[in-house]
Formats: sequence, structure tokens, C-alpha cells
Amino acid sequence: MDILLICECFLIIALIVFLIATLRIITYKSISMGLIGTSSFTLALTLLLVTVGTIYNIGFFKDIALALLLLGIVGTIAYAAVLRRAE
Amino acid sequence: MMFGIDAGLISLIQSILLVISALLILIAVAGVLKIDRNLDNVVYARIHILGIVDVAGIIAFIALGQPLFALIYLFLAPLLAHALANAYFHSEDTLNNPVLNPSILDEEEILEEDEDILVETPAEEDLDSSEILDIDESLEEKSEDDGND
Repeated sequence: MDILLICECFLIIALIVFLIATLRIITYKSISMGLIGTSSFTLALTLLLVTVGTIYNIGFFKDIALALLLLGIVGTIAYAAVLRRAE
Repeated sequence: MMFGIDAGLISLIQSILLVISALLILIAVAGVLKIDRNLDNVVYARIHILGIVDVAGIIAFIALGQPLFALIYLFLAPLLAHALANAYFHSEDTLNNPVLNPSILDEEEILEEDEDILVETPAEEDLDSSEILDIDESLEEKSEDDGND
């Protein structure tokens, strides 16, 4: 078994643990913690898609990951700007 | 062969980078979940801890052969962290924001007044012992002159 594949599987396991942790962060009371958890969830999901796409050579996983990364971060920044001006 | 480097060596470097990023992610998970939620400014601490995951993500993107993702996230991650901290400060931070918690200003004014009083009154250490004795004697003389006896 290739060592690179083993390391990619280790990264996938770490990312799944991180996804569960971000779900726990999202459930905190404040809106800001929800935003922080959502942005971290987006990053973890992007990384997971890129890793799986690399393992199985699926091209469109990377396109989806790129769109998710850009739209997730831009959306989070936009919502943070709205939240800042709301008060 | 890539850039004159053996493919096996590149694969090994990729593996090491992936393991490092996975370990960083696990450390950050432990930190975020174990930090005491009753601490002051814990939201900023959580943003700080999740910065580790940002760096781990950039390392993993590079190791997986996706430099575009790494570059995009390298530029956007600081903006994201700053926007989140700024939004929290202006909308929900009642501990530090004087707009949301006006009692902070009152406490600061009280502290400033206390500092002014401390600056105006000289400490006893600054006075010579002879001066203190003179002051005591003058006070005793005054008390005798008052005719309280």
C-alpha cells in the first residue's frame, strides 16, 4: 500500500473529526460562533473534497471545492459585515 | 522525475506534509473543544485556535498539488478572521465594547479619578523622617491650641 495513500486516509480521518468539532462549534449560542463554525466547516469540506478527488481521480470534485471555498468565504465575510453594521 | 527530483522523494514529502497538517488539525480540534467557555474573550481565543487549521489547510492544499487553492486561502483567511472578530466586537462583545456596555466607560472614569488622586498625594516614602516629625509636632501644637482639654 502506497504511503501517500495512507497519509491521505489519515488526513481524511482528521478532517472528519474536525467536521464533527465544527458542528459542535456551530451549536454555540452566539451568532458569531455560528459564523466561525460555518467558515471552518467550509474549509474542512473543501479539503475533504480535494483529497477524495485526488485519491479517486475525480476532476469535478476540485471544481466543486473551488466554488465552495470562494463562495463560502465571501459569504461569511459578507454576513460578518452585515452583522457589524446591524448594531 | 519532476524538477530533477525523484518521484518517490516527492511522494515522501507530500506524505510528511499531509501528516503534519492532519496532526495540526487534530491539535486544533482538541484546543477548541477543551478551552474553558467561561473565560473572558473566549471567542477571540477560538478564532485564534482555528487559525492553526487555516495554516494546516494551506499546507495540505500544497501537498495535494493544488497551489491555486492554497494561494486563494492564504489571502482570504486573514480577512475572514478579522471580519469575524470585528463583527463579534461590534455586535455581541459586551465585555470590551463600550457601546454595548456603557458601564465600561464609568469604570474607566473611576479608575482615572483614582489614578489622579494617587498622583496628587505624595507617598510617605518620599518624605524625610524629619519632615514627618515636624508635621506631627505641628499637629500636636494645633490640638493643644484648640483648647479641647
